[in-house]
Amino acid sequence: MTFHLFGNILTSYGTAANNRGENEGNITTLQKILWQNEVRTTVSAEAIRWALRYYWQTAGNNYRVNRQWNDEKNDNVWQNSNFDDSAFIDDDVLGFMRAEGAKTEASDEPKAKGKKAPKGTTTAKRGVLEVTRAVSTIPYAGDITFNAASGQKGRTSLYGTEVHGTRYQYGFALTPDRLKEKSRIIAVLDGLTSLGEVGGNHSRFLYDFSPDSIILRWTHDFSPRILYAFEEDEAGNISVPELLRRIEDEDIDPTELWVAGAIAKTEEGDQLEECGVNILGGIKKLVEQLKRTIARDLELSKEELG
Amino acid sequence: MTVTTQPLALRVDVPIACFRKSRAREYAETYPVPPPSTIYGMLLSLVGEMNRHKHCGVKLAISLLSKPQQSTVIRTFRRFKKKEIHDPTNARPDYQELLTNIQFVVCIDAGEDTAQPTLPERLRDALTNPSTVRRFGGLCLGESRDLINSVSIVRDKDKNNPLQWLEQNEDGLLTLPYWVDHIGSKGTRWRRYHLMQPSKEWQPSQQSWTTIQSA
Repeated sequence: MTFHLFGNILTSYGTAANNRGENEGNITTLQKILWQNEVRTTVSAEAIRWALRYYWQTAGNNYRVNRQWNDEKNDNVWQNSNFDDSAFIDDDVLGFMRAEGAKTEASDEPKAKGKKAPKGTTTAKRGVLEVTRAVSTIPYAGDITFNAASGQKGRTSLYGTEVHGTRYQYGFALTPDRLKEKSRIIAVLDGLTSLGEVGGNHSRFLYDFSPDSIILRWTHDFSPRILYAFEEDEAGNISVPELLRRIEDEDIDPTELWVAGAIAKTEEGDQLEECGVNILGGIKKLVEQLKRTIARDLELSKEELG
Repeated sequence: MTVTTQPLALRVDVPIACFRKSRAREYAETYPVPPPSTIYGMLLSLVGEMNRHKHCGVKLAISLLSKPQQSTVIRTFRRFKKKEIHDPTNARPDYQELLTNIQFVVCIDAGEDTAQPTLPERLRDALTNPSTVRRFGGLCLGESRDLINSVSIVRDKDKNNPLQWLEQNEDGLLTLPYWVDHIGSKGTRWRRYHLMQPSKEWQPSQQSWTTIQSA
């Protein structure tokens, strides 16, 4: 009996720029992928995972984070380079890997009889939380801003930046049984529903990734069936036709679904409620309810629930 | 448990993935279809099986239901240069090809799978009673972040869609692994394939079947 938590998160509308793309001349580009025959902008899963770790570091909730971001040095600082998934939440939830190559190449040295070929060593834990790439809900139209660097001007001071006014959606999966401390599922939910700074200018610090709408699924099923479920039309209306179809087809048990945010206030929100989905306007309130269900199923204590 | 010798047909939907070519190094190219070894690994993960030799002898037949689109992104790759884990030279940006909208069908036949129950039996049981499966990790195809959205037993209404079978062909232009050796690549095994034209033929031909076996 293994429980899985799946989620699909839709951000608010904002202006995204410089999402870790490369430069073309003096134009700072956005990362783009083809999605349903259109060019969409995208934000990597690593940027989202980075922001989650930064949230735990700064949330002031007694979370111990191994890889801490030093704002002054603009760099990561490890607390324990040998890792410790009992002590540190990020080692437990996001995983780690420390690989050391063999000192000599196995194929180069003639192997003495009875001696084993030299091998490298790996200390690794697969991340329990998997996050998918975020994809914009509307195509990129090609908007560019023209800017000048502050201070003394030189021949490289003028530059352009691709900008996309859009929302993003991304998914995640987590099997709490694999956590050293199962109760850390609560910290993951808290983090993902409060995530502030992910993509945007200067890589990670501007675009707000807190959810405007959220679909969560607490289930024994091994596949989420809710990834990238949000669709946006030309008028900016958000809908979830694929989710409704899957409920109708009985591919998803509606009682396993927890939906909140702006989508709850739409006609489709009413339809979801009629099907038996747990639905509320307030994301935090709904997540609190789901936390209680999770705590019951995982037999967490009140203290662990936080 | 339901015991049947009929091959099992699954429909799999993966929004974004990269099936990195075995020999791709600095530019992470992708195969246009998921290789048999990748799909076998995913099926083991689905039933929570850690021993990859357990169901050797099982036969897979793969066909694409969609025409995945290919994009290129730049991302950080990790490598081992310096012992200090956060040394900046251990990370470098590089290009990676991604596929989006991958929908495919995989038929699984017990073949010479001598395990009891066989892989198709375990899969059928897992899909009917997911709560009985003890497994971990997001179910993915390719890299761990490339989550699968859904896996379902093929239904009659799916069969209206045309599909493209992957057939073994010694002159085929696609060389795909059916067994991967992760320590070095001495034991990795490939076969040559050809992706057929779209057809409404849902029955895999003799050339579509690949037996999963270690070196």
